[in-house]
Amino acid sequence: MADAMTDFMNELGRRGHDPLLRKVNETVRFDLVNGKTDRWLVRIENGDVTVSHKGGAADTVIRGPRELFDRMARGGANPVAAVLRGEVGWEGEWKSLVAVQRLFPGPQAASHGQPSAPAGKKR
Amino acid sequence: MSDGLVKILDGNTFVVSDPAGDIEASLTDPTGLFAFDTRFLSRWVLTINGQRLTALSVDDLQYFESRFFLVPGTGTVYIDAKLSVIRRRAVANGFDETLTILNHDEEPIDLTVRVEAASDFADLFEVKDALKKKGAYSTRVRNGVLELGYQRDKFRRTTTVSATSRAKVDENGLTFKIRVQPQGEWSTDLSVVAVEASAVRRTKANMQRDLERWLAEAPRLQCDWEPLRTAYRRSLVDLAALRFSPPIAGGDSLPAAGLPWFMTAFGRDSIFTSLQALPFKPELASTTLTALGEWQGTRLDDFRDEDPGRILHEARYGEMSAFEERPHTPYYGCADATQLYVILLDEYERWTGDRKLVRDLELEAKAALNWIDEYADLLGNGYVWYRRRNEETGLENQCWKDSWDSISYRDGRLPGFPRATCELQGYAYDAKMRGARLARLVWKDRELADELERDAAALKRRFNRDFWVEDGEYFALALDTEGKQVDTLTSNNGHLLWSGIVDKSKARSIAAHLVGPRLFSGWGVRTLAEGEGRYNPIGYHNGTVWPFDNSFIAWGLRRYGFKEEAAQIASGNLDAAEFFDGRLPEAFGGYGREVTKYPVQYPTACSPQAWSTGAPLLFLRTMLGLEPLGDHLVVDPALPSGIGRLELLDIPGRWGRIDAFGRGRVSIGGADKRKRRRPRARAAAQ
Repeated sequence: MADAMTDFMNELGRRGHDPLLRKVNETVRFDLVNGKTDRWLVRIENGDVTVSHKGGAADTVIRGPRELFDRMARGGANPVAAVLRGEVGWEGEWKSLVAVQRLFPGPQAASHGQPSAPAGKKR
Repeated sequence: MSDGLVKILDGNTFVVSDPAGDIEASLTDPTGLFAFDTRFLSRWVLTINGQRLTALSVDDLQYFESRFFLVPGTGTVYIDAKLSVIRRRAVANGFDETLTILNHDEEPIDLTVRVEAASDFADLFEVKDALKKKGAYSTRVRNGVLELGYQRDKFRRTTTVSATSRAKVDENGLTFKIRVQPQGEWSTDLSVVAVEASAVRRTKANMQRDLERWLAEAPRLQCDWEPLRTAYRRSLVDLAALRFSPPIAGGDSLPAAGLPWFMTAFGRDSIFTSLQALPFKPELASTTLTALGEWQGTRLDDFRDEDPGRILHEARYGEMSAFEERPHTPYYGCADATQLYVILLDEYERWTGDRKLVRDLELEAKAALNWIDEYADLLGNGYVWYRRRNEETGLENQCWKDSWDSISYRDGRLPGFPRATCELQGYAYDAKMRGARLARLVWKDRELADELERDAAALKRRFNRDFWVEDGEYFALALDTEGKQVDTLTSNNGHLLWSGIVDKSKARSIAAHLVGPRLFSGWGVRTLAEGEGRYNPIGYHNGTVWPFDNSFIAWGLRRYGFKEEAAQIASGNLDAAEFFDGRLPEAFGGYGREVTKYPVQYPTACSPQAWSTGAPLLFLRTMLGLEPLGDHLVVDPALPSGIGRLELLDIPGRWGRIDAFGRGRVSIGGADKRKRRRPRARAAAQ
């Protein structure tokens, strides 16, 4: 199980509580399509995240090519832009798009932007 | 309207047409039907028997509907029409238009009525920058409905056009062959739907009732100077129009930045406008804080200039954002909204007493405070610096003066990057002080409160040493990377007063500059002082007067006790507003008042502009000296001479509703406002 999305979902399941999602109460289903459909159900209750590798009813369904989800899981694709492009299907409240965006990592290319800054107390 | 265009809108769906109601957009022409940052209709032309029509008049009924009165024919001086045509148009999921033709003749008449329709599906960015499209167009007629389409990969946008009457529909429009009886009329309802946008748009059930309630719930202004009443009402109506309900806000509204280009969430503009409107419409602040909190940065993303804790600059939904040709999903490149976020949260609590929201947003506010030290201090010397990481499409200047040449030395040279402009440090100071208050009062985090206050005190000390220009007795616009002062005299000094970072001993000379001849034009405070290398009275950020800027300067002057100077600035700006029928533009020329006698509007595409709309509101606050203190509202009026009586009734807040009264006390010089319809030119009083 070396694909990025599976690793990501497993990591998400171990995350337990994510304070950034503490106001979110929502079940999100990810339908990963690659010939057949692989489904993941992510349940968020006041920031407590549980992940199951199965289908089921959900408030929001996000559906798209598996390869794209793998890129999202690696931080290489942006979920909001992908939805706006129509590359992934989206059924549900737009509000929860932000929550989904926050589940995923940012691009790894990002630098801290501080060339030589020692973090810490100022003079 | 000044540009001759007729605009109606609801949120980010808007229609811009010529005075006859027609749309003939080109790639660079800003007319059309727009929704979610995409132009869904670029051609909409009505002809009768092949003839275009002439507008007799236009009723801007409300911000969301207008009515065009037309007659057939163009270019004639003498019109003797036997026909009248009325187009009544309202924003809906696109727009609805009722077309009515009246026959005033004694004979029946046969007519060919034609409406041409087409769309270029341009992204707003493409219209602004005149860029070419990459996808393919399609047109088809199905069941009497004209369907205009655009597709690029899986990105699809569709507009449908239909009518209630029988029409011959072809790929370029609709044709009606009609007969109108003597003294009779014919009418049809046309519907234009922006299909993908209407899927996420929330239609207000009754926009008319909504507007009436909005106005009725606002404090009432009584004043013996009529133009101020006009400006106040104009501001309230425009603010209603500028409300924007982003898809993430669950139906609540925040102020968008401006019509038509900026009908979207802007961190800085939404926050500044919410601050201006707090004594009048505190609910705007609540939505702004909640929505911007939900979009707060959580990761590092160079393309979007995103950092954890950073508040967004601008969110967009068009094609170029979708394909990541622009970074606006959302874009975070601004260096002030994050500090301003904390400032707004505190000011909101002081007015409303809504501690629940402050508790709900504890993490967001703390993340914002953390951003100041952890991510904004690019040189590690205790100041907020900015430099874009997205070199291609990111913003160079991440402060409110964001044009390319807005930050200059006296001799006109531009500093390198990163840059630390002065007002960013003031905002950081204020955010820390206010954050400390919230930490102590609501979050019960004494350790954080102490730390923030210590940091703020150190920042203030540093700042008053490093930014103070000795030979001019004001604060430098910025520091460059070598720690040298970018030494021009600018309006930013007023924001420093507002932030509280200015040492008391230095405040008097700052106040004197703000109403002195180099900065004060007689109408208001110039962005850049006369005499500086890049000064230009019509330079966007290099000499024009910005009403929004002035309103915060007036607040800053009040903060340090300079009531008369604050009243003088309010007075000049409100005098200017009278020339624009109560609607202050984004900016006007920095020419001396004694030279031009009237304020010269800076040509700009956006009107109304949210923070200009908010300016009269903040001037009212500063003239009345409204300041929450515990559960009370302190009223300490200082009115310009000329306003004898100013009453603001039913001001909402933690006190319930309260009235504030002001009587003329401060003499600014110049004529009594009540005795003249138009303010006459007068020299700036010193």
